[in-house]
Formats: sequence, C-alpha cells, structure tokens
Amino acid sequence: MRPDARLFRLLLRLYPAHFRDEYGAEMTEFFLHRLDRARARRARPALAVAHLWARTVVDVVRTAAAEHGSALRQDRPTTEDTPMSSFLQDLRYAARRLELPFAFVSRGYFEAMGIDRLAGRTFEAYDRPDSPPVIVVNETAARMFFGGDALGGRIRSQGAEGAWREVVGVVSDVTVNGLQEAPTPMIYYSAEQAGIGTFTLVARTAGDPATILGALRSAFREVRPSLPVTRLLTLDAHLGQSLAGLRAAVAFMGAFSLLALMLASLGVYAVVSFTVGRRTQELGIRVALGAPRARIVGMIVGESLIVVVLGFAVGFGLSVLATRGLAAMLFGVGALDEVTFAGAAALLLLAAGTAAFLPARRAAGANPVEVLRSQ
Amino acid sequence: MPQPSLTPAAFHILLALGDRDLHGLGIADRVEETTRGAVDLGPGTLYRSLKEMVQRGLIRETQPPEPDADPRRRYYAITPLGRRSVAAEAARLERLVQVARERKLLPERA
Repeated sequence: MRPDARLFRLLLRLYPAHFRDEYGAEMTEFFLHRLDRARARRARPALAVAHLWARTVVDVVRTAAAEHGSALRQDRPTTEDTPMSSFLQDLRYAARRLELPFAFVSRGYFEAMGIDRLAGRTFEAYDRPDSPPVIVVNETAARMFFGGDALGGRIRSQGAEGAWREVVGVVSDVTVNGLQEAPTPMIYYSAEQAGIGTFTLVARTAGDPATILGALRSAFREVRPSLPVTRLLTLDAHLGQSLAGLRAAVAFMGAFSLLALMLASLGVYAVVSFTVGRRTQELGIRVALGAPRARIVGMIVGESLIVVVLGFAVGFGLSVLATRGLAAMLFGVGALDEVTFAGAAALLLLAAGTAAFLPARRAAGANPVEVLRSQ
Repeated sequence: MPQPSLTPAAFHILLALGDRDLHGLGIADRVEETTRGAVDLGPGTLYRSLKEMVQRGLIRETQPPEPDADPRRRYYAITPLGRRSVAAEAARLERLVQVARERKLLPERA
C-alpha cells in the first residue's frame, strides 16, 4: 500500500466503525485521486500537497465528530443489521401492509436466550415444513398490530405468494441492535419449518461459558468434520463488541463524576469547617455561661446539616433536569437511580457532618478562658 | 409538505446530480467545475452528506451508467424529493438575487 494511503487509513480510524466500513474504501480512493492531481500541478506541487493534507485533516476531524454525535443520538445505531421485510396482515376483509424486522429461530431459542413466553406457545418439534405455517411475535408487535391479542392473527410475506402464517405465541421484547434501541416489533419464523441452512447456535451453559467454547467446537467436529464453524464467542463478548465504544466514554464520564464528587465533598468540608471555626468565640462564651458541651456540638452539627440538606434539595432538582439527557444511554439503571443519589447525598452529608463536628468539639472542649483570650 | 433544509454541500451535490447519475468522486469533480473551484468538497463532508441524503430520501444509490464501471464505486441518482428540495432552494436564492438587483447591489442583467 502507498504510504499516503496508509496515513489516510489511519486518519479514517477517527470515524465510527460502521461509517468506515461503508465509505472507507471510496474515501481513500477519492483522497489518492486528489493527491495525484495536486502532485501533477506545475506550480509548486509540494505546497499543493501540504495544502490538501491540511484541508483533509480538518474535514475528516470535523465530520468524524459529527458522525459520532449522530450515532449517539439515533435510537437504533445499526438498523441495517436486522433484515426488514414487508408483510401482509389478514384483517378478515382486507389486508394491511407491515414493515417488520424478522428472524428465523429454532426450537429452544427463546428458552436459551431467556426470552419469556407471554402467551400461547413457542416452536415445537411438530412445526415441520409440511405442518401448518406458524409464527411467534413479540410483545410490541402484538400490541401495535393485534391490539394486544395476537394469538390466531394471520400474517404472510408480501413478496412471495406464501401461505398465511398463524400467530401461535407471544414473547417478551428484546433489543436486537444494541441496548440503546427502543422496543421494536419483531416476527419470529421457525427455522426448522422454513429449512434454514446457515444459523447462529445459542447455547445456555451452567458454568463459565468461556470454558465450554472449546468443548463445543470439538463436539461439532465429531458430529461432522466438514461443518464450518465461523465464530464462537460468549454472549458477554458479543455484547461487549457492541458496547465497547460506549463503555469507554462512560468510564471517562464516571471517572470525572467521581472526581467532581470528591471536589464537592472537599468544598463542603472546607466551607463548613471554616464557618464553624469562626464561631469559636461564641462557643467559648456559651461554654463559659454553662451550656452543656454535648448540646453545643449537637447544635452546631444540626445547623450545618440543615444548610447542606437545603443544598442537596436544590442539587437534586437540578440533577433531575440534567439526567433527562442521560436516560438514553443508561440500561439497567434508571436515570434517577436511588442508590446513586442516596450514595452521593450520604457522602456529602458525611463530609459536612465531620466538618461541623470536629471544630465544634474542639471549641466546646477547650478552656473557655483561653478561647476568649485568644480572640 | 415542508421542504427539509439543505446544507450548502447537499445543495451542490443535488445540483451535480441534476441531469446525470455520478459516483462520489464524479460529484466532487463536477461541483468543483461548476463553481470554478470555489467549492471543494472534502472526502468526509462528501461521503457523510451522501449518507445523510440517502437516509433523507434526497438521493438514492443506483446502477452504474456503463456496465464496465469500477464495481467499488457507488453511483447516486437524484430522487423526486431531491428535485423538489433543490428547486425550492434555488428559488429562494433567486428571490435573494432579485432583492440584490432591486437594491442596486448587482448590475442589471437579463
């Protein structure tokens, strides 16, 4: 490969993988063509080449940033991956056209993937190519197209003049193209009934799945040595691939948030202990007048905590607003996660409490005469 | 139906595809030619615009005009929506040119 091409390929790494895969080759060809043209200039070709590189770097950096931004915004980043097809729904007197993603799955697929059966049945051994054609739909499809009661509903593929297929079961929704997507309607065909030749095998294991992979591979080889097994990996690894980019970004955000929380705690500590420290003289007078020490410490800590609690209430309101934008990127944790919020609040309260308690105890415990003299 | 707004790059790409189907490099060459070098689309801007314009239905991928074309190159054609959009944008620019003439900012010309 030409060194220019290699350098340009390096630059292309700035784009999200799906964009690079789709347009990388054409963009490289485009750039090399422009480069050749700049070199062929009669007047100062070196300057033209440098100029082209500079413009291209700016162009790539700018558009790569924009492309990353739009990938994060889209609900479904890799829609292209799931096949969509047109179906007709039997409405007894008419037919309605639907655009739906679909998948061929075998018996036991839903059980292995932990997808719950909500109504009817899933595929069985008696779903053969010569038995009545059946399909399973997910919850969202049942709700969107059958008013919730999908069993007995009929659908057929629009293109081929196939037979009507009856809905025999409803299963729970799953995200297909990455965890960020909203639930989409989905149709499942029986792979056995349709006679599909190439497929992904999903296996549920009792122990650590990684240790089973080798055994699975040799089992395949034993059954039929010529059977090609192209990719063998755990579901965690598979999910990790779709999440790697996001995970890195979130790890960064998490690190900065922790830092921010630590700074906030230090700040609260400093402010509270400074405020209490300034009241040392007042505390000395109270002690001299006979106030019990425990009550003084309690009063100071209580007063400081009221301020911190007020601050937390304001901060909570603001974070509710701020986390709205975050909700799209969270799975398994709501944007308003109780543990997270309570943890942050507890840490700040602890910082404020300690900050109030230590100087208050020192002031209350000191000899009032010395305290008053020192001021 | 409201016309979607066009970026300058999208407008030039639609102009280039007005009367023929072209691939990415062909589009950039034609834009450069019609604007006498004033608009030089970089590779990122060009292919990102093409991707978005396909998604918005302004252009679509099409068969190469000659069968022996390089198979790696994707050709694009303007869609009816793309035609309406570029026409609306051109009409808007024409009105602005008209205003410039009326206010003696441009020499009168037929």
